[in-house]
Amino acid sequence: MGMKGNGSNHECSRERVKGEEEAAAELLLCREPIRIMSKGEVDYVHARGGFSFDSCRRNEMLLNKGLKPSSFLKTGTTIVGLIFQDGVILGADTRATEGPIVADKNCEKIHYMAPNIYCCGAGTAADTEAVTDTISSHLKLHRYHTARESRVVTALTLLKSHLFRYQGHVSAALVLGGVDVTGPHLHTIYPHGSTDSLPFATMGSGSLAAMAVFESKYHEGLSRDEGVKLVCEAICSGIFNDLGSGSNVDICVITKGQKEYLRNHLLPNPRTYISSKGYSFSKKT
Amino acid sequence: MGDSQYSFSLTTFSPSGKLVQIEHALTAVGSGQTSLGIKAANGVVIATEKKLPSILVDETSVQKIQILTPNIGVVYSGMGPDSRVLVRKSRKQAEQYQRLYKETIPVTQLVRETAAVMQEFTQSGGVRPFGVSLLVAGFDDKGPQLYQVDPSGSYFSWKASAMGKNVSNAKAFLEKRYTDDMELDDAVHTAILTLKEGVLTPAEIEDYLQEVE
Repeated sequence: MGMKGNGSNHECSRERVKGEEEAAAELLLCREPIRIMSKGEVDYVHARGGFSFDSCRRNEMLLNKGLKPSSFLKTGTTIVGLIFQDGVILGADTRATEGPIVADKNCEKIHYMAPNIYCCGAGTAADTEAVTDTISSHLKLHRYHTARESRVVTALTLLKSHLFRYQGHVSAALVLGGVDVTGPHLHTIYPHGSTDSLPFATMGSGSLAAMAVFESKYHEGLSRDEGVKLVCEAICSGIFNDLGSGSNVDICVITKGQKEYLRNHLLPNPRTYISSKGYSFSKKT
Repeated sequence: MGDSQYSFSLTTFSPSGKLVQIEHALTAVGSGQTSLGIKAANGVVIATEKKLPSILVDETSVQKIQILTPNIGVVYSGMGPDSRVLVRKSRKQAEQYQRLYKETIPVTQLVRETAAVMQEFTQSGGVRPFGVSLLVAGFDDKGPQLYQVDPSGSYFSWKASAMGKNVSNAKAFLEKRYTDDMELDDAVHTAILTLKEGVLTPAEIEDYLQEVE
């Protein structure tokens, strides 16, 4: 696993994914650019105040007074990616959790960024959706202006700049993969904005289980079928060994000029308990 | 008339009730390259002549017809740089609409927003109106549509229209040849003929028509 930079940073971000989010005590009043969703403006404009961290202070005060924070929908997750001989394969499980409850048994964690770039997201579901949507829009406008296919490094830089600007408050840990003119690329992006470039990567609460599979079985020059099989194994390892991951396996295979989005490629957890006759309960039970 | 005294400031009406700057902008459009659009039964065609100032200009670098969304395109008459700004803004607006409503922007909406931008520049201080008229062609669930947007910000829906030089000739030609149930191929053919009107003599056009038909 690429352990560039401070090891403790990595620990920090994994905590964020697995457990409760610590209240951020920093008060950053920064003049940062935000996009104005109205007519007229072409480029980013500096808004007064930027992202307001005032609520963070209030939240911390409330926590100290004993208020339990509202839980949000997280994707305690297993997401993986690997580079094979013709391109990139991304895989994800499909369980979304809200604390100990499974909120969505079949959610989509592989997000579209560009026709040749897809991104798996772990962390707070709303954050991953919003950030991938925003950057996907950005890339589309960029494609119109330049009349060229989007590059993976462009998506990478846009995502990491966005996440860094929000100082880790946007809780999105991403595995970004795609094939462009310079070849196949696979990157991981942590919520604070640091990135790694790897031949195989895993993120989310099930990342250790999945990484164990990759570390023992990955080799260069995998064929498409071998690659898909390996990714399925890794995700299944996460599904069966991690509580935060479960349900089905989604796969996305990206090669030069083509992509295959295999939604629910594997269903290792089918419902088997529905009685076709229905249930009858006698009165007063 | 005292109009000339009011012709420099955009934000001042002249006594005759006109904004003279906008009239001047329309003149700028009228001296631009001819562009036209024709709405057919199953599509829209927009066309323009790509007249380059010299044979040394790399023609692949000049793109007069631009795409705004996968189903809406635009051509202009007038100042090229002004049209680039509008194209950029329109693309962004289309994308924002899509992000907000998860629906591809209808042609009328995009035209309305573009026209609103053009109107803004006729009522703000320190700016001048855009020196372009746009022909926006699109196909959405309401079928094929063709709109013309002027520097004043007004927009019209046309069955067939032309802008720029030789407008009267081109429009007369279009009036003669336009039919409601035209197919897209016919429309393309007519568009090319209309453009050639301004370039070739009537005798040459006859020859061409005989050749083709």
